Amino acid sequence: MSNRVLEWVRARQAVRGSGWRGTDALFRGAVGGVGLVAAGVVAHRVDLVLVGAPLLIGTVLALVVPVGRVPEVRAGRVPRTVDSGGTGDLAVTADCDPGVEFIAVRLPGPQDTGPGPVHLLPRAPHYASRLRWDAWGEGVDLRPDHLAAGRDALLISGPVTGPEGRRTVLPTAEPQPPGPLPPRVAGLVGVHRAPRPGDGTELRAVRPFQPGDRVRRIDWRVTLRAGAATGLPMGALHVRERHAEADADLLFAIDSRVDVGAEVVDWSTGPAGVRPGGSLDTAVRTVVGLATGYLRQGDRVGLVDLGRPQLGLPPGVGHRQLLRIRHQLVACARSAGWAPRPVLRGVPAGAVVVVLTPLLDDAIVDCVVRAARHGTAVICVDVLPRPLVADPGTEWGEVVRRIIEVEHQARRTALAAQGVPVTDNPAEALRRIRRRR
Amino acid sequence: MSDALDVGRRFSALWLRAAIGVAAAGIVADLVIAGTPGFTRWLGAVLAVLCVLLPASPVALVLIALAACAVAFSAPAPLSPALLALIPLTHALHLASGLAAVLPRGARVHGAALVAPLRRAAAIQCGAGLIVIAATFLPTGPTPPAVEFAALLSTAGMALAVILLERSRR
Repeated sequence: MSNRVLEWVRARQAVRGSGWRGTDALFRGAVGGVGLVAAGVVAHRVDLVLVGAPLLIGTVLALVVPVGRVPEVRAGRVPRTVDSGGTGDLAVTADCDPGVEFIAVRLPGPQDTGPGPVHLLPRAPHYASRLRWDAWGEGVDLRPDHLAAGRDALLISGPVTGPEGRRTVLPTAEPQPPGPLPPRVAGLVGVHRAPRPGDGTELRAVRPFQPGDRVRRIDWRVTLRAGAATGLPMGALHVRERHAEADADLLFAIDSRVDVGAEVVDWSTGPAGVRPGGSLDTAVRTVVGLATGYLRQGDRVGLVDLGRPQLGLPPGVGHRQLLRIRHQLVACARSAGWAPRPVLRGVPAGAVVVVLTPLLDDAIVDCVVRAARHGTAVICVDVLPRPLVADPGTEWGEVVRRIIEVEHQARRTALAAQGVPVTDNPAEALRRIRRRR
Repeated sequence: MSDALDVGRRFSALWLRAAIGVAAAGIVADLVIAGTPGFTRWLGAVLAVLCVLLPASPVALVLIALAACAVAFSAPAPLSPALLALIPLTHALHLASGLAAVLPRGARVHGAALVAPLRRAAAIQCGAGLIVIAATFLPTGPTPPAVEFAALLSTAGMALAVILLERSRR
């Protein structure tokens, strides 16, 4: 019963809140104006009349023009998915009568993050604003809360909470130049030289003709030279054998369990989303840059979230795979958080695994070493921001920073001792891995 | 959409609070110049600070009423300079408080939004100036009962007009 009463009271309040209503300014203008004028007349003080007259006249002039119906403010459509660093135009339509003098509407601008500040604007049928998306991730960047006001803001309608515009801002990065990778065993097409013979461009051997060889593969010069060497007009036919070319599997494994910046003091009190310039941001941008380069080359690229293995993506090719990876990186960042044990599974045979981690715990070292011992080519990319800044609020800040750096260096050394290259420049390390193998 | 108004950055709504502060400080200075009692000045100063902090409250009305009564009953002559200064100051406080009251923290103000109210305020102040000029020519001394009755009736008429206009929007 009490709930029904509460609902009724709330409904009454909602009805009272909708439509036009007077403000404190109306009360001040009407009561103050009439009161001062009346007091001046009664007390025979023209001074009071003169002070009250502008308030009273202003109120009457403001109320003479009817404000009309309740205004409607609508924001135009903005794409649901956009690229970070991109811009877009926002059109807002305000449908209101001539009695409306102001529209206060919350709109984002190019320099604003989130839904932006409230702008007090004159009445106009259309408003235009420019949006800019610098940070990647998911969030609300548009919510046109609005309030309409009549002359001198004596009457207002609203505030009305606008519909939320959620957007997925995909991470972007400059494509990294791809290099040679170990080819996939089952690969048939690609740019990486496979050890087996095939239809590639690189010469593998020159050998005598065998049944099944194509005639156009015959190397006539070698054949004639072989004939001259044996004294026969026509020696044994020789063919030029070429290497097969295959694509490669590249798997990016991001450590989403921790997201740390250079300031050690902020490690335990991070922002709500991804820390700009932090380890996760660096890892994601690195993945996007490398994936763009290798997918353009025709290789197969996949993704593993070490903290949440279910969010991984199997290797794939093409532009759609790049889009999938970018969307999945946003999903990984959304659910990023501490997980006790990193899990690296589902690695295809012969794939190169690039682990991007700030190397802040021993579990990640164990995980990477275990994968390397299984014969997987693993590169560890260190994404810890440097130089680390100690907590200035405590005398132990510098000690803590040094301990973190020493432990971090010890982990790097341990990985290197197990044959896992640890690098800050993944593109260069990937170019080297083919030579190593 | 070439006729669309570009929102842009514009200026902070804190400038409206600054305008309230300037007008309220002017009113307090006016109280000092008019030679009002010390208690009135201190009360005016406290109300001025509250006006800046709470624009959507009746504090501005209290300050206007206090200043009008204090100046009117302290000034030696009916149309003293302190009173003439009070007329635009109270009007400015009223307008700035009205606008600041509808804006949340961090709001931005488009300059074009203030053109119409400022123009109207200037016209009203011109009208008030004409009333002041007319008041200087009014004879001093006892008012005839008929004129006094007409003044009261016109005041009641204005109050009725405000009520009717305010109700007519529903």
